[in-house]
Amino acid sequence: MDIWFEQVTIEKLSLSAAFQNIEVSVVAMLFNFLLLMIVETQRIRQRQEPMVFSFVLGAILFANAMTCLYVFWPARTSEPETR
Amino acid sequence: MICILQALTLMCNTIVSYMFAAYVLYFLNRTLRESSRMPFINRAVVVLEAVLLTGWLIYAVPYIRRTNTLIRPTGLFYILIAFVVQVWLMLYALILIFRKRELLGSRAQITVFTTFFLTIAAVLIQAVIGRAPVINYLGATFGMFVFYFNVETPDYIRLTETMQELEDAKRESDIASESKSSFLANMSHEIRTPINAVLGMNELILRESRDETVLGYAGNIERAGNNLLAIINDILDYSRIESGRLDLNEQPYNLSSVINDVHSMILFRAAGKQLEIGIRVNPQIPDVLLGDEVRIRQIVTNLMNNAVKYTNEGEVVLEVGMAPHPSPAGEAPVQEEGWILLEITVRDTGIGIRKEDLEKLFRKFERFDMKRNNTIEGAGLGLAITNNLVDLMGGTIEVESAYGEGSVFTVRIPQPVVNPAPIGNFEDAFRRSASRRTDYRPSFVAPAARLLVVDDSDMNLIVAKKILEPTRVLIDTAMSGLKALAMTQDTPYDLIFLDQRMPGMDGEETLRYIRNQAEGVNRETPVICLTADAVGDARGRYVQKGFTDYLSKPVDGEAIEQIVRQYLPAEKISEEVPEEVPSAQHDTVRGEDGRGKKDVPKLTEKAMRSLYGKDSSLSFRNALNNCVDTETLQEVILEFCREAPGMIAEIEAFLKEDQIRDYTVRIHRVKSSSRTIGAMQLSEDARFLEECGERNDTDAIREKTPQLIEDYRALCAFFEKELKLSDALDREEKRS
Repeated sequence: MDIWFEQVTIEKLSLSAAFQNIEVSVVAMLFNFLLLMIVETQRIRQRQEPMVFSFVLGAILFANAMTCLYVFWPARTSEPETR
Repeated sequence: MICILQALTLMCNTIVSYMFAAYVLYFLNRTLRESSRMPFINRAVVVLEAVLLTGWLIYAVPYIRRTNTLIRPTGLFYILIAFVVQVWLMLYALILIFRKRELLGSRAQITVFTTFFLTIAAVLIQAVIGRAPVINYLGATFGMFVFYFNVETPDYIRLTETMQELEDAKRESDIASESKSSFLANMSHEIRTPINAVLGMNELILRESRDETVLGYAGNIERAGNNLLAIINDILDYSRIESGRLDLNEQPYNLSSVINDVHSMILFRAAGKQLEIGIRVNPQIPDVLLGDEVRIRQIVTNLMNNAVKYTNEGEVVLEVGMAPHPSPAGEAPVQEEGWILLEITVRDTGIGIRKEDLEKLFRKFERFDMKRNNTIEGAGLGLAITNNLVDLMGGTIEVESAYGEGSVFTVRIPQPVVNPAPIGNFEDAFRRSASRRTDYRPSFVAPAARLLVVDDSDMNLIVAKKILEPTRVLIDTAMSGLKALAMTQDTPYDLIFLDQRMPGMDGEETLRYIRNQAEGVNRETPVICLTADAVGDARGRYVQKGFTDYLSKPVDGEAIEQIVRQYLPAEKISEEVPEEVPSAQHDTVRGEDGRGKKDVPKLTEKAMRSLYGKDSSLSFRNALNNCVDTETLQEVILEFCREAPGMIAEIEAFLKEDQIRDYTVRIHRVKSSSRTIGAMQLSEDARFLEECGERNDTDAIREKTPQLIEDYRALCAFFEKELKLSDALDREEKRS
C-alpha cells in the first residue's frame, strides 16, 4: 500500500495565500497568452496554415492553467482539512 | 476533486513534453528538409501515462469516498507518473537537437539550447523550492518567447524558405550543368569515332584517286574534318575541366622541350601565312621544372595558335622568362629559391581586340567581331580552356591589346625548380641538338662482344638495337623471361639487359634462374635491370636484388652506351671508330622472332616534327631522345600501332576477369611504350592507372580505362593516318 500512495493532510489556505502560490504561474500564463495572440495574429495576417508552434503554446497554457487550478483548489474548497 | 485535478495536471505535463518533442522534430524537419517521424515508443509512453493515471483514479476515487481520507501517489509510482515519461520526452528532444547540431545554423543552435536551458532550470528550481510558488511553466514560456522571436517569426521563416529555394535552384542548376558537360563529353566522344573513320577513308581517296576534282574535294574534307576534330577535342577538355575531372600530373619536365615542340608545331601552322615566328627565351631560366608538361604545352600552343589565327601579316613572338615573385603590397619582390614564376608572353601584330570585348575574352563559346573574323574556325573554347588551366596551376593570365595593332597575352605560372641549371641560349642549344643527332658517332665499337636484351615490348627491343647499332655489338633479343633462359643456357653473353616488369616471369625471377642455371654459361654475366622505376635510390634497390646495375626507361642513348662500355670486357672494346658504321641492322642483330628490318615510310625530321606539331599532347623532342633518329622513331611507331589491338584486347579481358595484376603489367607497358614515342598524355594516364592497379583501386580503373583505350586507339589512328602506315602494315601482315 505504501509504495502506491500515502495519506495526506491538506492545509487549508486562505485565498490570498493561494494566490501568492500561483501568482508567478499566472504571470507565466499571461505571457503565454500574449505570445499566443502575437503568433496567431501574425499567422492570420500572413494567411498561413495553423502552426505547430501555436499548439505547443496552447498546450503549455492549458497545462499551466491546470496546475494553477490544482494548487488553488484547496483554498476555495469547503472540504475539511483531513478526511 | 483534488485527486482528479492532480491526475489532469500530470497528464497535461506529459502532453506538453510530448508536444515539445514533436515541435523539435517538426523544427528539425523543416530546417534540415527531412521527413523523420515521431517514434512509436513516444506515443506509447504517453498512452501508458494515461492508462496509469486512469488506473490510479479508478482505484483512488472509490477509496477516498469509502475511507473519507485523502490519498496521493507516492514513491516509485509517483516518480513513474510524474517524472519518468516527461523526462524521457524532454531527453528525446534534447538528443535530437544535439545529434543534428552540426547541421543547424548557429542562430538556431543558440535559440534551441537557450529554450532548453530556461525550461529545465525552471523545473529544477520548482523541484527544489517545493510546491509554492509555481514557476515551472514560467521558464518554458520565456523559452518559447526566445524561440519565437528568433526562429519562428514570419520574416525569418520566409528568409529560410527563400534560402532553401535558392539552394534547390543551385542544386538543380549544378545537376543541369553536370548533365550538359557529361552530354557534351559523351557526344564529343561519339562524334570523334566516326570522324576518325571519315578521315581514314578520305585518306584512302587522297592516296588512290588521280582525279584532280576528287582530290580537291577530299582535301576540303580533310581540312574540315581536322578542324572538327580539334573543336571536339577542345569540348572534351573543357567538359573535363568543368566537371573537375581534369587533374594535373606534376612531373619534372624540360622547359626547352616544351618550347621546342611548340616551335615545331607553330612553324607548321604558320606555313601558309607570311608570318615571322620569333622565340625569345631568357637564358637564365632553369630548364628542369616541376609541373604538368602536357598542360603547359597546351597553354602555350593555344596562345600561339590564336596569335597565328588572328594575324595576317607581321610577326608572332613567344617570350619565355621569369617574373619577379609576387609580394605583399608595398614590399620589394622576394626572390625565393626553389621555385620561379614562369612568364610566357605571346605578342602578335594581328587584328587586336576592342576594349569592350576584353572582358568577354575568357568566356566559353565567346567569339566577337564576327564580321571580321567569320572566316576563322574554332569553337571559342581555346582561351577558356587556357584560362582554366592557368587557374588550376595557380597562375594568372593578362591581356593587353590595341585594336588593329595587335595583342599581348601574358601568362604567369608558379613552377617549382627541380634543377637550377639554366636553360642557356635556346637557339644555340636547339641547333646543337639537331647537329648532334646528324653528326653522331659512337665513342667505341665492340664487334666481338655479344649482348642479350630481354623485354616484352618489341618497341623497346627495336630502340635498344637501334641505339647500339653503331657500336657493332652483336645483339640478341628475347621477349620473355623463359625465352631468355633458353638463350642464356648455352650462349655466353658479355652483358644482359633485363626488363624488370614482364608478364609471366618478371625480371627478378629470370635473374634468379639465370644465376642458378646448372652448367649455365651466364651465371657470372653482368645483368642490367631495365625499369621505369626511378624513385629514390632505385640503383641501390636493384643492386640489392642481385642486378649488377640499373638503367631507367625510356632508355637514353648516351646512358646505355656508357653502361655497355662500363661492363663489356676491356679487351673487346676498340676506341678506333671507323668513319662508316654498319647501318644494316640484320648484320648485327639476331632476334627471337627472326624479323629483319621493317618496311616503314621514311619521313624526314622536318616532316616528323610537323606531324608531332599537330597534336599538343605529343612531344617530338622526347620521342627523338628516346629513339635516336626519325627512322627508328617511325619503326617504333609502327610497332606501337601493331601491338595496340592485341594490347587493348588483353587489357579489356584482364579487366573483365578482375585480374588486376596482369592488367597492371599491360598498363605499365602502355605507359612505357607511349612515353618512348613521346605520347606524354597517354603515358601519364597509363601511369595513373598503373598506380590505381598497384593499390587495387578497381573503381578508378573501371572509370578511367575506357577513356585510356579510346585515347590509345585514337593515337594509333592518328599515326596510321599521318604516317600512311596502313600499306606498310598490310605488307607486313601478308609477309608474316
